[in-house]
Amino acid sequence: MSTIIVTIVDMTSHTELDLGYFAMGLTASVAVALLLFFSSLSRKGLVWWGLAWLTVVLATMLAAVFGTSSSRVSVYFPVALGLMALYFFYLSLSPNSELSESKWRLSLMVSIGCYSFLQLVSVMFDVSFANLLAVVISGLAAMSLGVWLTKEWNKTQTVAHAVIVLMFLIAGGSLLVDIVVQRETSAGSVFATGDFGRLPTNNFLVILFVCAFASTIARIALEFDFLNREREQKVDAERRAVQERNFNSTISYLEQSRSISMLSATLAHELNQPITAIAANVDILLRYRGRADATNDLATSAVSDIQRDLSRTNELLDYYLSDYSEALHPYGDSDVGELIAKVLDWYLPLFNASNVSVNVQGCDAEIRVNISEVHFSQVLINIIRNSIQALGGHSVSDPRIDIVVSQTHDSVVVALSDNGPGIPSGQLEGLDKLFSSRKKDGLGLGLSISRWLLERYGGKLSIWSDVGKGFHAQLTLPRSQKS
Amino acid sequence: MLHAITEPFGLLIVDDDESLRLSLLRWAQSVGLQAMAFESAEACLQAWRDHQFELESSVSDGFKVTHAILDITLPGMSGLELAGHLSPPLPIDRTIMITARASEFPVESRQFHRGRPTLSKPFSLSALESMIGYNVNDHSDDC
Repeated sequence: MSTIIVTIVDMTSHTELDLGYFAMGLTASVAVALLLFFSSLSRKGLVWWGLAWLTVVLATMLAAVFGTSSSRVSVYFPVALGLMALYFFYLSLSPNSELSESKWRLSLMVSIGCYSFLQLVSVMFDVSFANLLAVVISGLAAMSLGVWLTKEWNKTQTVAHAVIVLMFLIAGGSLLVDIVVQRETSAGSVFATGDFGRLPTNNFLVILFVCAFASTIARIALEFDFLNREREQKVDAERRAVQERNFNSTISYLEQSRSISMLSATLAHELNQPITAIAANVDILLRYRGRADATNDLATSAVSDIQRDLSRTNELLDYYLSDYSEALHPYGDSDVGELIAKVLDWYLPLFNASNVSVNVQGCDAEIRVNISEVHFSQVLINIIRNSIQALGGHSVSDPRIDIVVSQTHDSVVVALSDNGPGIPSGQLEGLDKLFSSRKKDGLGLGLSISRWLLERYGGKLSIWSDVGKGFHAQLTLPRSQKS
Repeated sequence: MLHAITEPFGLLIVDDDESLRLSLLRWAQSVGLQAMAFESAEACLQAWRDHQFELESSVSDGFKVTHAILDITLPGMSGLELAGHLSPPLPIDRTIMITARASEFPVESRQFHRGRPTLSKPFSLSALESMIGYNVNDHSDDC
């Protein structure tokens, strides 16, 4: 404010320089410099800094238009502003400074420094061209700040830009009119004299013209900066997406490899059992051959066991092959009710033999799931077989297996329960994982392979048990879109 | 479960795989060894507590176990835990561990797991006989 007062006093009095005026101007300059310094210490303060800087520019413009001593008024500002420019230039180079984030801010600081230097030169040597450049650069600096403000206030960005362009058009048009109407005054004479007070209208319009032109350039530069940032962000996003896809692919591959490895290990271990039994029985038969005490019963039972174990081995291999033959068992689209009915039909003799009754609910309407029929049957058979063994191995009155099918908007749930003895919690934990089978015979892969199969189709297997009341398994599968 | 008794060998077989359990019993029967077989460690311990067999050498009557053939991985109590219950009085070197998962063990413990002689499935009967120190030829007259 003091600066403006000094400027107005100077403009109105047209007095020659005296010490009082010099002291007042110096004080005003120092005050503005301090305001610039302290207000620039934070992002919010930067706005105040900008306003102070605009005050400087305004004072300079007023002096240039209305006074004859503008050079003297502004002589103190360049010194202070030059220091400030150097300070901000230093800040902009600091990696921890937010100022370094925007290149245009650096340009702004450099502009201020150049302005200060050129203004000082113009005052000291009365070089009109340097004075003109100083005005150009001050306009660039002022409008760069304006662009920064419009960037911060996004809602008014478009309006601000339009105003800047309008200023450009008015200034340019007015300058042309002045040149045409006042033919005796050439542009060269205006620029050459350095006396901005002689043709105030022209000078004012020239300033506006230059400011608008410079601001447009700054605006274009800023837009390029935005474009660069957007392009960089897009490239970064694409790179991240590729990395994410690669990562997911790798994880998926590792998961598949892990599953295959675990299943292979399980298969190898399970094959070991019948192979060991077969080898033992073959060894016994060989030893028995030709012995006087050899009995047909023992030989017959040994051969029968060998046949059973061979069959068991084949069954294991069938399971193994079915898991890896996607071509044989592609993703299906099957009705859950039909699949359950088929499995129960296959196992009807077993149910009858073990006196186990099966109750199915929720299959009245068609509910389709995306899973291979073979794999779904495998899972169901594994669980039902477990229940039959549990019910058959204990004297359960009215042995029963309940199957309840339900659905949500995106999944199908098949809940199986038996009223067997259940499994103690200590033994239940990890039962659906490898190497934790409780089976006395059969395939032995049981729940681990069931879980693996369901997870392949995006489903899951949950098991729990009430000791003395029964075992529960819940199969959750993605619902088919055709449902 | 009790089979032909022939002194001095008495075998205790614990394996959850029925086929292997039966084949081992058949082998014991074929070579004239006394043997009992159980599907789980719990069943075996229960039989011991019910005095279906004895482990102490001082007991002269009944089924006297001199060797145990235990599957390491069993539903519920493991074969190793069961071995801990049986020895003493059963000497540790007379507890033969069998397993189908020897590949998971360190190489140095695949034949001698936790201080006990160990056989990896599939194994031959000759290897088992060698492990328990039973020579078929020496007892061929018994059969």
